[in-house]
Amino acid sequence: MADALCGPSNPLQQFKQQTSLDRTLQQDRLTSRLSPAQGFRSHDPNAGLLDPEFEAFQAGLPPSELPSYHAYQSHQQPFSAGPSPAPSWAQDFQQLHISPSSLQPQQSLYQSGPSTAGWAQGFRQHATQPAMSQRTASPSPLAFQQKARMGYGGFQSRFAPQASFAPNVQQSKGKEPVYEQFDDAAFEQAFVQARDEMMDEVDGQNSLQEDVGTLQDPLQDVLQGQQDFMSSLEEQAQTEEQRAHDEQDALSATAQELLSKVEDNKTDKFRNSQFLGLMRKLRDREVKVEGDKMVETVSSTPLKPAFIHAPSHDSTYASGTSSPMSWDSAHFDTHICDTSGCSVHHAYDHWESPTTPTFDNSEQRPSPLVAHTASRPLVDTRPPDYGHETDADLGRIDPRDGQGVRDILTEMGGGTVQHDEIGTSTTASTPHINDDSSVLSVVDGEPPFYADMRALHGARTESANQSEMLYGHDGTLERPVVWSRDEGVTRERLERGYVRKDIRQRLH
Amino acid sequence: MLEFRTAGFNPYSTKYSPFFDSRLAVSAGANFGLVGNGRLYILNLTSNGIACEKYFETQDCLFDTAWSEQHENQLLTAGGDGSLKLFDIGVGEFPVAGWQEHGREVFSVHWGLVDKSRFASSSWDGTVKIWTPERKESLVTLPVHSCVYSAQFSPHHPDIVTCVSRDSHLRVYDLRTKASAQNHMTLAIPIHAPPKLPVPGYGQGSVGPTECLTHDWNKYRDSVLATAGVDGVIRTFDLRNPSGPVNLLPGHEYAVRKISWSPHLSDVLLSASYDMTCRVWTDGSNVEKGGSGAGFGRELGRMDAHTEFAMGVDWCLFGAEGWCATCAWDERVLVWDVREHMRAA
Repeated sequence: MADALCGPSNPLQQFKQQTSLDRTLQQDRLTSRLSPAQGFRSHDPNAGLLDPEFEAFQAGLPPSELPSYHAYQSHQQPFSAGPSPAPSWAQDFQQLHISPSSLQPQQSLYQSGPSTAGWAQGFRQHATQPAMSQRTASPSPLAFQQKARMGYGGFQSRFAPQASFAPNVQQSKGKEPVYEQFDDAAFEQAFVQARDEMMDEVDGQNSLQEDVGTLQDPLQDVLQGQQDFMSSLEEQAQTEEQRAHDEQDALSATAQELLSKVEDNKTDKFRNSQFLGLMRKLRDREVKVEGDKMVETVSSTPLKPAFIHAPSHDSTYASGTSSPMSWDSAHFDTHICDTSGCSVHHAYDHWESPTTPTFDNSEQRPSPLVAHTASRPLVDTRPPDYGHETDADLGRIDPRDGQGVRDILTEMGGGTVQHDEIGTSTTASTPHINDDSSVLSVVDGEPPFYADMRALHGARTESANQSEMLYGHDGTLERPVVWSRDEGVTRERLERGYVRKDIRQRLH
Repeated sequence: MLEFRTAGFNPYSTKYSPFFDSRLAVSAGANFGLVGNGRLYILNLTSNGIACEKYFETQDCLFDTAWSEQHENQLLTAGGDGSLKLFDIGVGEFPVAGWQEHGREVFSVHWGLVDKSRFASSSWDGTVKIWTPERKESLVTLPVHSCVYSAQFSPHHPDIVTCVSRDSHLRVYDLRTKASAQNHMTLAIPIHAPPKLPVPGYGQGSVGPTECLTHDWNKYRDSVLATAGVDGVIRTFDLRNPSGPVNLLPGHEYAVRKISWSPHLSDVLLSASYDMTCRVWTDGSNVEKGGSGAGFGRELGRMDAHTEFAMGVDWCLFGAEGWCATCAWDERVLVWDVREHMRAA
């Protein structure tokens, strides 16, 4: 234990104390509060920090070949050690905070916010600049002085979320940081121009014409930025689709890997294992993960446990042909739903129809996940009685965040929020097709499967409405956690929790 | 042998109530916990077999459960959505409290056995958290920086917490210590280290680190723990000799998912494995039973009835020694007597 509290003090020791402070709780809160609407499925930069290295170690790779070896620095929290000259930090800091030239327009722009907002905005702007050296900058004495002056907690609480927000930009869904896409300078310029224009208006009408002329350029820039933003959104939708596809590939590969581990086991138990049967189907792409379910791609029926179809301990999963075919094929691939009681225009409605398509629908249709995740409203999932007033970072959760993206997506006909409410009025025994978030198949005489019951007594999943999300069903603590579940999660559970690693290591 | 089917759900963990000899909890998830809902079963052992008293449904798979040591009707669950929930059997269908701090799947929960006002949870987000039911936030966060599969309070001391993680280390935390650079950690024992004494039939060469999935404190010897994981070997450790394992118990063909020391016998433990068997072991420390004190352990018996990966085991605290409950992905919970499955020595 080197942290003796007594004895002569020296700067190095103090430095060490400062770096070794226990701030885990605080950091933890900050990161968990970082983006409640995203849920935790996005990657925490700190989680599993050692895992890739451990894996590489097991595989016998030298550390320098580790993919994360060079990127390691960027994982570090702000102010952690790293080789970067101190003056650059100081310079950046001055540029950020002290220089009046950058401060002035900031304040004119964000005057309505709390007094710290200018600082935070400045930082945010600063963080998006190419010079990001402060994230890895070494804690120079100057930096610590600044830190001490700011007050540790306050500084941390404003600094950390913003800084760690920046690298997550690509992962955020439905909460795209719009500010990034605009040319800030042009925006400010436009405001300054507009103000000047108003001043000039008092002087005379004839100067107005000129001003409009000069105003056009920055406005054009802004419009351009908006267009870029739109196109980048489309690109993102495409890449996400691609990603979903890649995840299916990876899931299949994982299943394959698992199966290869146990293929030399010829015992009856392993041959008849339901789980391994499922793995085989995953490998052969006969089953894929969609939202909350395993779906057979051949027939697109939600996979049900064998018990519903066969009371015996059957090793086969429900195949599409044995599932109740009570809905009509006309629903397949219609865009206007004509089911009674369902008058909403669906973008991807009923595409999960059990009718066997003659082509591979997984390839040609947009994944509903894209629309779902992107259009999900931003919800503050903190408990309703959470101490909002004590939140040191008032400006951070802004109900308007991501609104622009939502609007755009709604315009584009992506998912709509009303989408969610369709199935909830459905009752009892009429077999009824629901929207894609809950395929309903109540069959007479059979116990309803839980997924079905959910649709019966109101959605308790992601599709729950906002108040339900916030206050829970009947005001209880059963708050649905809002996140997008994609195939990546399943694959990771497969890899991490049970299968690949667990089984990989045979004794001897 | 009694049997209960958790139809449609694949059990992950089963625990006997510390208050009633006939009550059992099982946490489970649909689709083997990969996607879909979770369910917490409260089962009663009756003269007519096992009856389901009640079940709670959750949005995501429940990887683990732990009975409250304070309240006979309450129990905790570890959710795949990163949440901890406290259910009360007498109250409705929703949890009476919930905590959401973990950033990833919570893989284990454990209620303090000495200071019964606290419980611990471990998660794939690389942290162990200590909680109290009265507070909305966690009391302490212990960073591990590697996927933590299991965390436990010591049954002998209120402030000692241990965990095992993906990086093949058994970490010991003492919550009384100052939270300094070590974050309360007092020991980190490499699980893959070679044993002090060579074990016959098990090469001296270390197999290298493998993920450790489970561990348990011995209920009688206050410095002894057992761990097990992906390499299928159960190891016992004595914290007085923290350089490596004391004993190795090889035998399982695949990864060991769960182990539990007997509440009645100081040398007996039970394991559940991905090779679909549950096995009973002695670590050979019981001199009266012919062990050599620090001797080598061996397998005492095995139970082969499960037809999928065996996931959970727990001993019954009451009645005759040897009754236990196991669960597996074959959607079955089995309650059986270990003594019926003993091998001839």
